Amino acid sequence: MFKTDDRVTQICLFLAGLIFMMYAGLMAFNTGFFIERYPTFDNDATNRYFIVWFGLNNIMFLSGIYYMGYKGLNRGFFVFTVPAQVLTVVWIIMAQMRTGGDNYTGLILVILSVALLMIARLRMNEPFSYVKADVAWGTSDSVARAALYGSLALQLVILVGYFMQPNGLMENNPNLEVTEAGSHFALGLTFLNVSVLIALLYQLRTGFNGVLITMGLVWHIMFISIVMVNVATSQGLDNGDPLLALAITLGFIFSATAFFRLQKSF
Amino acid sequence: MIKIEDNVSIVLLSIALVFNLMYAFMHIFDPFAVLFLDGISQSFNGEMTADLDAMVSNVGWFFMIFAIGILMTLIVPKEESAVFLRLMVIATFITSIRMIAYYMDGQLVDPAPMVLSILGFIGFSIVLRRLGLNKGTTL
Repeated sequence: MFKTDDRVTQICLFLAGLIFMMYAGLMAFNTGFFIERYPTFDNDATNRYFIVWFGLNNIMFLSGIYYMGYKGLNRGFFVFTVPAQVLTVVWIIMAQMRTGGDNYTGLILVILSVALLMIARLRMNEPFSYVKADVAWGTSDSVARAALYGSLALQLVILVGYFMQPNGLMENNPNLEVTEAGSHFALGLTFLNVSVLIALLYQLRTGFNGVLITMGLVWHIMFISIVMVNVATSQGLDNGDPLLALAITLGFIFSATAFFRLQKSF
Repeated sequence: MIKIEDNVSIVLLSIALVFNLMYAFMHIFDPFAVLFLDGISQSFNGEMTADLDAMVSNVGWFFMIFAIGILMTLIVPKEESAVFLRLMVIATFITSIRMIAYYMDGQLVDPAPMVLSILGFIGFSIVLRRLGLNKGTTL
């Protein structure tokens, strides 16, 4: 597994994967139970919407671990997940300070996942200096490069959009309400957005990365499916957030283009 | 990464993957499931009982399992997927027949599930044929 004989690395990534899997299962597919565990959460549509979203993010993290399980360890995975999980720790601490909640299970487990990921990264015996690729994104395929530049531009627009309208995800969706918890969830998604930007800039400098492109596609396939479900069940495009649907659709097109153009190399 | 070399099969399997995932989410998540049943069925009264919820979720998880199977089909050599693809052809064929019967019977208001299952059957048959995995070719 992971194309390494180092048991410590294997166990660390297995345990990190278990944590991702547990939160993916709880948040995405057993949302009611998850909310019960946190008395400071109201069981409303806004909270359920964001908790499912965070659960699906965990599936993306898990897909990266599976990918490395078969293909071998990859520095790009850690470039994305370590900042993402560290920012999640900051985000949970901010939430605890805001609400005065006393359930520290999530905080402890996410800190543990950061530690496990960092141990695995340190034991990889690969340098922390990242050599610049000969060309941007490490490929001469102009279509793939355009798709990756498109992804980068999209993430930048989403980041700027957050600062212009922090509660936009709730204000633009007729099914959601602007709440304090919802605003904090939106901040958490912005933290993830920052991690994605780090991952894209890393690829811009060092060349495209199989695990990161695959994780991006996994996330986009799940979300484009949900956009399609929304369109199918609401029988139209006016019962959701059209801007979010547009961003997911564009992201899916960029992500799928990059994956299918470059997949022979990873 | 993708081991299948036929581009048409890759496209068809990728579309099938997205649609299976879409149907999985539609059945697994309660609010979607209620809206879906409301949209396609004449007899559904809008009330999701615990039993119905469990059964509908199970259907969703089967779609999810099929989506995982399709993903695995894309990333392994085609010979290893022969049985799975044959199963999918048979499964989508049976589903198509059932959906046609439901639709003709008037129980299914929306034709979309019927059309999609027929397209699924045609799609998987094309993939099986293009990859040279149909029985006459491989035995």
